[in-house]
Amino acid sequence: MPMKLNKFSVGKRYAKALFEYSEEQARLDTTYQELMVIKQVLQASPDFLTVMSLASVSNAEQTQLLTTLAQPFSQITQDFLHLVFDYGRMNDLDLIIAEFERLYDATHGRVLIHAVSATALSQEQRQQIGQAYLQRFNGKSAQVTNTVDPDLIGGVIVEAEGRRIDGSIRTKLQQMRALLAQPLR
Amino acid sequence: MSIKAEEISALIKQQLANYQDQLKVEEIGTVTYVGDGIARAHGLDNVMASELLQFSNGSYGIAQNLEANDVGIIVLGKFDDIREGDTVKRTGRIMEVPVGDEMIGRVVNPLGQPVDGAGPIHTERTRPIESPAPGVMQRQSVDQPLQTGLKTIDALVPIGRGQRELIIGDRKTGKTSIAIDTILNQKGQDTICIYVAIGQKQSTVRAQVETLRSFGAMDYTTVVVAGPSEPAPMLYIAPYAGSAMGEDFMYRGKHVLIIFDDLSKQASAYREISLLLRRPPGREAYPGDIFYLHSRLLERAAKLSDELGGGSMTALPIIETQAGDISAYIPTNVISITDGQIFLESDLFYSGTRPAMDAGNSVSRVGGAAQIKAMKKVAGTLRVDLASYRELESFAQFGSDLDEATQAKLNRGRRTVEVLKQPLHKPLPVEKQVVILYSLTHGFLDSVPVDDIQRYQDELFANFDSNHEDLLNEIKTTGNLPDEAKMDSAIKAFAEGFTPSAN
Repeated sequence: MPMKLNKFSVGKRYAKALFEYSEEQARLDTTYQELMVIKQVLQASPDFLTVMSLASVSNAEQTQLLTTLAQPFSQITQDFLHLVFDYGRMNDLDLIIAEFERLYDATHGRVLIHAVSATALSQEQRQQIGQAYLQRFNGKSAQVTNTVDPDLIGGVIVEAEGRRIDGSIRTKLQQMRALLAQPLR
Repeated sequence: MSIKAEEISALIKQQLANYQDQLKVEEIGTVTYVGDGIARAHGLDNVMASELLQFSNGSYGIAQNLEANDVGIIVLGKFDDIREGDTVKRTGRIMEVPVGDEMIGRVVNPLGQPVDGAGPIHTERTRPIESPAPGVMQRQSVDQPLQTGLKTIDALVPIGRGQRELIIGDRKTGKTSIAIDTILNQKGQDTICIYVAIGQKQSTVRAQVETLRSFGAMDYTTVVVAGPSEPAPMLYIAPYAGSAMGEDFMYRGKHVLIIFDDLSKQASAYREISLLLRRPPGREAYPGDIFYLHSRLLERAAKLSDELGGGSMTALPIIETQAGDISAYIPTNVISITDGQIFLESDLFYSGTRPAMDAGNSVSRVGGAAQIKAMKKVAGTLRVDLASYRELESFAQFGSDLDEATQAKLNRGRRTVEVLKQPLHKPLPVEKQVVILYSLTHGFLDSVPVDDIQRYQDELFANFDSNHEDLLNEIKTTGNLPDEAKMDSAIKAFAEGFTPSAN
């Protein structure tokens, strides 16, 4: 295709390659754990990826930085980081990791659930949401994250795997409003 | 005025009774780009082509491009309050418009919502805007006439019910007038008309609706309007929405006339959408499927078989040409799709020949079978007469010494052109058309001065209305030409009383 690849396709390709290679080498879990560490590092120092892809920073310095980062990891992860750097895709590293995580979750039946609620959910409530979701759809285990949005008034919105189950009071009120606004027959 | 509180609360209760407290699983995606009436969204993995989607601001969209990473969506309606990161959800349906008898007499937008300020439309049924055209076994050949009420069209390029006849010409050549006159002539013909105005000025549409209303034509007409200020997706779907409304009547065994005014603007709107969706441009920057855009639309016009009720949908698409160039991309496409074309010329229009139909370039490929016998008899030689007149006319300008046969041909030609002229919004019933064309082809007009032809015609009709109603009725009911001796004597009797104006 003549069109420039967008960053989503780049992320998908690199993640898939790494995933399949790790699987062949039977080192999938190690790679996954190491990538999760890298993810934390990236979150802690958000400038890192920018520095790694800036033209104004010399190549030697970048290599130095990369080696420091890659040092503690297994051979596969080290090689992969260098490969991504050599091909100038450091900017997309976070997307690659996210896609790898998605692939890993999908093969292990892990579901990442995002729940929005009016008040913070307790640990028990989160577990219940996770259990209910797994019962209804496929999956082996669920991990529930929670954000609080007081605008919901009550209830909870559950989002996972491109699905949304909206049980908030706000939405119910909106539906009622739309119903009442309809002309009488 | 006394409004009882209990009554109001009872009404509210009644409406709330419809409220269903049910949790629905929605499939959602995230908007990654929005602008110019289109949006792109991430996610929506299971979305289907042409599926209706809903944005979080309430606007609807149609999935157009299904790509590896995202979905290209055309937005129907407001898009300026959709933001990057908003959610968009699947509806699992494809777009539908309301249909049924309630739509008649209304002016609606391409979504089927009323825009005439006459209150909500309480339809019970809807129909998808895209639906497959009737197949080979569901059709039968066109054999009933659809009278336009215009002498030049009914005589030279007859249109049958279920036919697709293109009206093509430059701007300001009377394309819309032909369409409107055809609608006016359907009064009492048990035909439902749908006028789809695509990208026409709102003031023009208003004037046309008023015309239709003043002639009582809104009693059997629906107008679908997609104005030039609306986003391109609305212009793109307008003819499909109109067709869906027409199909509902057709499949219920009724006759429908649908007019697309005009398809060049729809093609431009589709080009705009396609370029914004990054589909590769082809000739004249139109996308690769521009032919399919029009062919799948016009293929929905049909004459259904008797098992299916024998209903029909006649389509009159309109195409505007630039400087008479009918070999541009869109005109050639639509000419090849339709069963003939009515070609209008600006030279004729400005020289006063209205309707300005160019008889040489206009054809009807199937309508001949639908012409009534009487009309076939009187109009048989008309096309040849006109052609030879046009040929001789240019020669005759050089010299004045012409033999008698040539003089006669020129004479007849001049009168033919004059007879085929017709004023705006005055459609003629077919039996009267037959009478005047009979007088023309049987030489009764040869002695009438050209300037008096219109008056001769009007007085002839008045004479027939009062003295020879039986002859008119015979043509109307049997479709056959009455006994020639009777016709001759009736016209002769009138001609003797006719006094040419002295000048």
